Amino acid sequence: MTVMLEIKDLHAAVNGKEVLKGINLTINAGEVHAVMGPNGSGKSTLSYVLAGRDGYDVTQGSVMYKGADLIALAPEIRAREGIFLAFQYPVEIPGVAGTTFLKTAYNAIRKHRGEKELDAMQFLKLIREKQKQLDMTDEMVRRAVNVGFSGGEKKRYEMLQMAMLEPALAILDETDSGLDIDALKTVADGINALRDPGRAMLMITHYQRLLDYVVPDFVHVLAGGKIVRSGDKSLALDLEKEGYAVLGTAAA
Amino acid sequence: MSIRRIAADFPFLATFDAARAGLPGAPIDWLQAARRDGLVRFRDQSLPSRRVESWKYTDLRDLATTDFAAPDGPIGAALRERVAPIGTRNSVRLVIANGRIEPDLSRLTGLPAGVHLMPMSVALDSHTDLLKAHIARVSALDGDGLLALNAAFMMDGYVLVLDDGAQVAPTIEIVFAADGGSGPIALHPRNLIVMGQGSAATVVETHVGDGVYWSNPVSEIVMGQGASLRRYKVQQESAAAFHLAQDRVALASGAHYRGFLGAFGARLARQSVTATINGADAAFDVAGTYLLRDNQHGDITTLVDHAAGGSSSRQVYKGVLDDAARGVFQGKVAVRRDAQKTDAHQLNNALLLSDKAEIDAKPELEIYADDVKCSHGATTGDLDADALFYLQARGIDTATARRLLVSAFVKAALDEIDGEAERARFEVLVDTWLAGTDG
Repeated sequence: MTVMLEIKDLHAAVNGKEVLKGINLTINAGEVHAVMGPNGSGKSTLSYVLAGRDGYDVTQGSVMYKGADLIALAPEIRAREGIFLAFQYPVEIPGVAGTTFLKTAYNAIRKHRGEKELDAMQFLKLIREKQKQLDMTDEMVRRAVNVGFSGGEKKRYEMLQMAMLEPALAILDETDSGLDIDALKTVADGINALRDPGRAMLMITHYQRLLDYVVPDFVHVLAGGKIVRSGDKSLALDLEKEGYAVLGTAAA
Repeated sequence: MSIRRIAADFPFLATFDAARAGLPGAPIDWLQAARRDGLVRFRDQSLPSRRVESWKYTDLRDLATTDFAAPDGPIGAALRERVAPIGTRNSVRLVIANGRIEPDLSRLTGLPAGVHLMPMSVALDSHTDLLKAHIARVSALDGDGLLALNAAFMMDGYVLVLDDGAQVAPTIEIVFAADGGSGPIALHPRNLIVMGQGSAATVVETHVGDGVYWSNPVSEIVMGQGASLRRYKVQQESAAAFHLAQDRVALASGAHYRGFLGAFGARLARQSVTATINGADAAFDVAGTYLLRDNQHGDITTLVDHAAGGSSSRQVYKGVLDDAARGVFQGKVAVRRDAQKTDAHQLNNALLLSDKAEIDAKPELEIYADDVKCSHGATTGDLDADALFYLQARGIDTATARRLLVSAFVKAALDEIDGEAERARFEVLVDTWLAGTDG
């Protein structure tokens, strides 16, 4: 089995404050892992550290992605190498047309892979196929990035981007937050459609609700900046019943 | 000696008597009187120092100590080549090069009846009374030393006269080209647009040049009832040039002025606009973008005077300042006591791309009427770090991501342009500027 991501003793600080305190996690190609945890446990920090956001500093440990050091890479290089972060709060960018944004991203990644860039017509044809699966209209895809989208539409747009960019490692940060049940199903269908033996996924979530629709291979519980428990999907159900409070001692 | 004026010798003043023989309207007595009067006033006023409130942020000392000569001869071949393709192939075009009309590059035929376009030097003969009325009035206005100097050394500019009801659909292209390649020169173009009732026109003014020069254009625009003018200006002066332009616009009832400024060039530039709204249902809408880098200094100073009620004005400016560039926005809206139901909106947003860049913004409202709707706003900021990271997280490199965001910021100003072709033209200019950003 190919190792996609190997995190060892990862410590990371945000604004000088240590938030991740020794994470160990290995994800193989084809696997879907869920990281659950209460607010403030470091879930979003983990996703930003992996995506390479400024101000999220690795202070100790290592992250290997496809066998190479991930931390040394700029965020755009990580993305071109196949890492995709689906944002918890997708950013509105007035004035930048969605099609311009996604075509620029798509072609940057193609170019990085040594593939031919798509022209406007080819790109539109491709995006039309993908947007249909996520129930998005031409107008939604054309408008300024995320501007005027509801919470659910923003998440669907994240899934559309993921479908277009075909990452090797998808990190889904609270993708279920703010979704009603119909939107949750649409988004979950989008994620399931991309499950693939060559692709790994890391789902970060507070609730196990999403896991009813996207069933993970492994579940990890993050608390106090560390993974305090790991198991299969039944762990998520236990947590749902018991709540994070039972982790009190383990998390300390 | 007042501290409100810059003390300088201005050697070119000594050439006044020799120079005016070669300037437009040499045999016309009233014009000579206006020139002499301008000279007297400039000797008295000099250039304003930073002690003058409206010049607090723009320092003319470097201009005052540069030894400018009168233009001598045509522009160079390289500049001619840059001027030649401006506008569309068949557009009506008036090219003023080094202060004189350049007939080979101009095309003044094809205008509909009732529309008269000519250089100032020709208009002084063909429209003597009209010019006398306006030139004498503008020259005598209580302006600053720049206006007085323009009155004294007035050179060819364009004169556009539209009879009542005359409408011209195609864009009229005006190009000012200055070549200071063989030593600093000073240019003082005078422009005049007089619009009859219900007339309409679109004018694009382009300012380009090489080397060190000082362009000091004064434009007077008089709009009759219901007249409509779209006036777009591309300021692409050389990186060593000084560009100090002033527009004076008067609107009768129902007139609609739509202006746009794209300010990209010059070492030091100031665009000052004074509009007086004299009638109800008149609208004065100006917008623009200033994109500056290195040590460029760009100043936009506006005064919109609502002298009549039931009129509106709108000002939207977006500035991008990189390196050690400095921007100045001074926008004033005055609403007189009787100008009830005035609707005035003013906005300046500046984006600072470097720690050394600076913007000084001074929006002002002076309202004497009580039933008005006036708003103003000024913001200054950096690129949105969240947006930048979002783009990078999708594989877009930093330089491209910054360009996308800056372009989006500027395009909000371009959206103010009423006219697809003109908006596209400014988009190209903005993209060209952005391509020169190193991110």
